[in-house]
Amino acid sequence: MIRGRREGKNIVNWFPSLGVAVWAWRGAIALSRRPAIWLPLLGVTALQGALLLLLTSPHRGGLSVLALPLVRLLGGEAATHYPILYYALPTMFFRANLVLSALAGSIAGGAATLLFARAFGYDAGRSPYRRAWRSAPALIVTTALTLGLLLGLAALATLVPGEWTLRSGAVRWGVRGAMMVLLIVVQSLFVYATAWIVLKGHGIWPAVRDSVRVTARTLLPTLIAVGVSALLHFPFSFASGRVDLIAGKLKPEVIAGLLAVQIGVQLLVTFLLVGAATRLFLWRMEANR
Amino acid sequence: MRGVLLLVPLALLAASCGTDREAGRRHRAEREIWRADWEYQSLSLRPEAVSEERWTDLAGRYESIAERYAGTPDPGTPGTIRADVQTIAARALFAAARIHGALRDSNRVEILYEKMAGRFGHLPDVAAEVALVRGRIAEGRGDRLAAAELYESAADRVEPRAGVAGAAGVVLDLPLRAARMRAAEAGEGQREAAYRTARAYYRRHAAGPPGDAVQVDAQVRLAELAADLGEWDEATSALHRLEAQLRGLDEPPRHPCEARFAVYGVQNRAGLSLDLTRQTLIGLLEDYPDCPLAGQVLLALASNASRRGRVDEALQHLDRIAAEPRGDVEAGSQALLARARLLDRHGRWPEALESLRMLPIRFPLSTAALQAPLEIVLHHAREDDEEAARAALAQAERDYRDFLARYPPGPLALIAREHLAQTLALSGEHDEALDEMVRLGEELSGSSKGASLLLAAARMAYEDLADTARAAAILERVGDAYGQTSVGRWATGEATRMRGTMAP
Repeated sequence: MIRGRREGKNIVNWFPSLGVAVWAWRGAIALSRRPAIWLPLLGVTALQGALLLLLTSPHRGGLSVLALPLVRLLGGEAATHYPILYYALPTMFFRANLVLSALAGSIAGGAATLLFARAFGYDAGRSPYRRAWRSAPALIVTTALTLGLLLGLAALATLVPGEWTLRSGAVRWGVRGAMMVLLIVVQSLFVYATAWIVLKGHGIWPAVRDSVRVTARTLLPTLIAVGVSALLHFPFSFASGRVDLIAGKLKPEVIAGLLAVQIGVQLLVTFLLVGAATRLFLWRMEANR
Repeated sequence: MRGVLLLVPLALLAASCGTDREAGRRHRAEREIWRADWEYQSLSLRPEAVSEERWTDLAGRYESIAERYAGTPDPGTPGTIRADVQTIAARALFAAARIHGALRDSNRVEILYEKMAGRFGHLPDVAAEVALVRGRIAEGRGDRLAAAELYESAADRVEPRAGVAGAAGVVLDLPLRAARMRAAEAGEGQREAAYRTARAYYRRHAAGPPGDAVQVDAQVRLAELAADLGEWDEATSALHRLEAQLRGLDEPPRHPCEARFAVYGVQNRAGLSLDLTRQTLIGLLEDYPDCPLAGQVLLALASNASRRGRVDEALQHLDRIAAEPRGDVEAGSQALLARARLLDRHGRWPEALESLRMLPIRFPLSTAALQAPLEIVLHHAREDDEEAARAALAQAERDYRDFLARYPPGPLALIAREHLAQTLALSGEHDEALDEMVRLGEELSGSSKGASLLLAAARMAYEDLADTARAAAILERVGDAYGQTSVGRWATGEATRMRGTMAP
């Protein structure tokens, strides 16, 4: 039984929707003192940290044996030079993180969803890790699909002539805003797929289809929950696009620091988003009964 | 068999580890020199506020980077990671030499360049840079034969490339420069021999891919070389051929009008009639109305008209330059100065004064604007108007001090300081003028300008202040700094003679 809001009407008004989103976040925040729920997400964070350390270690004796081939693979030969390594670091990290998110992040997200669901009173079975592992193929494919779609959408920005964005700040920010809205909408449509897979045992396509349905019925709270997460991320992605400026004004190593902070923020945001999405999902399921 | 198969990946892994160790070392070297460069840039923001000790520490840091990364038994062939690391080490030594140069420690600079030549002679780019810098030092000291040899050695090390930084970007000029130095030292009958190596060098590059910037510039140098040897027809026909070639190119690396302007230069040097050279310039402006050298062409036309006694025509040309709102600063400011001088020569002082007063307003950062206050002084001195000359001197001193207070150190500030010293000397403040000239001369130590400033200061001490000891001390400094040149040897001898004449 889910505690809290029991009315599951389609939410389309802003204030009630905001209330629902805040309610979902509060539920997630209330569970933030349970280390067990953090554990799968911390595992991904540890992997991201190790990846960042590896990418910034082509000069460190022991690590360079692994680091240099990885840097060459992700950033080309030029990235093995200092300070070009740091200019290329956000791109390299982004590329490697995509693979990490699809392979490890998806499974960790599944485990975290199960742990949240259990904490919210849902019978999620005894071993969430084993259950998430069993659903790994579906989780990986769904996450890869979402990431692929998001990347495809991001590529749309390149259709705007570079001259326009260079000349006009309004066009530049307009494009950024439009891309942000599109990304939030697409991510919102897929945000419940993991819950469908691990909690309801759906396959890939039913999970995607039903995620879109749940999003449609919980549109504004979902958009708010996903949108706020994306906005929390925005300063870092914005800064990552200005590495030349940061490295020029400060030291190149600051970029690695920025990415480290970004990893930390991502952990918090993912915790909140997974928790809120799970709560919203269970609330919607409860209402549908 | 299976054992052999196992050994293959192991050998590959071992080989890749070796390469990775080298790449890691290069990364460390790049990081260390980047951090040192960072500090250099930070200190260079306000160099006057940085202690000499701090600069010396930084130079030491660069030298230690060079020590750490230069010492490999196998230098590696160019293009390899090992060669990259050595290039970084060489760059560190360059930076250290630059700092010691700024600290006027010429002995240390010499030692560092010797070290670079010895350690990095196998890296063509580095060897060329070293030869180039040492050539400049030798040229600054007036040692022309040594400079010529070093310039030729730099040109032999790297192939010229257009629009790049470093030795490759400037090397094309060097053979002609070296030839001119050799010619200046050679007897009349040996001039052609002095240019032989340079001519072969430029012919080789002129035969390169047509339309390439280096191929075009090599043709210009060949024409200049022919003009140096008095082969006027050869020089002009080479330039006409080049102009035709440039006109036929879709994207010429130089504007065809530049070749035509060079024809004017050759005609001028050959002493052809003023009417003929005027026709060349008029034809240039008619054929190429968009010529980027229009300002210089108009200046040349003005000079031509002035030499023919056509003052109004000269003024018209000069006014056209000055009226161009987006014209280049150098041409615009020189036009205003030339206008003022022309008007002054023809007794139209009020108009000349107006042009001189306009100069610092329209072109505050130009050599002509810095010349303007002294021009006013010189006019009143010529007119024997003592009162006006005194007022102009006081104004000139204020103007130069204002300029130095307002603008940061740089080439224009050096000119302002030289003019200030001149102004002080003309005002009779010889002590202060002398101090400024000595300071400036020492800052420009190693260059011919530095030597001439110190010699002028010595003369002022001897003639205007009757201070023989001070004059001898300044000459001794010239002797120390320029000991390998005739000027340095003369200064040492003169200082000894002066000391000998002084009462015990």
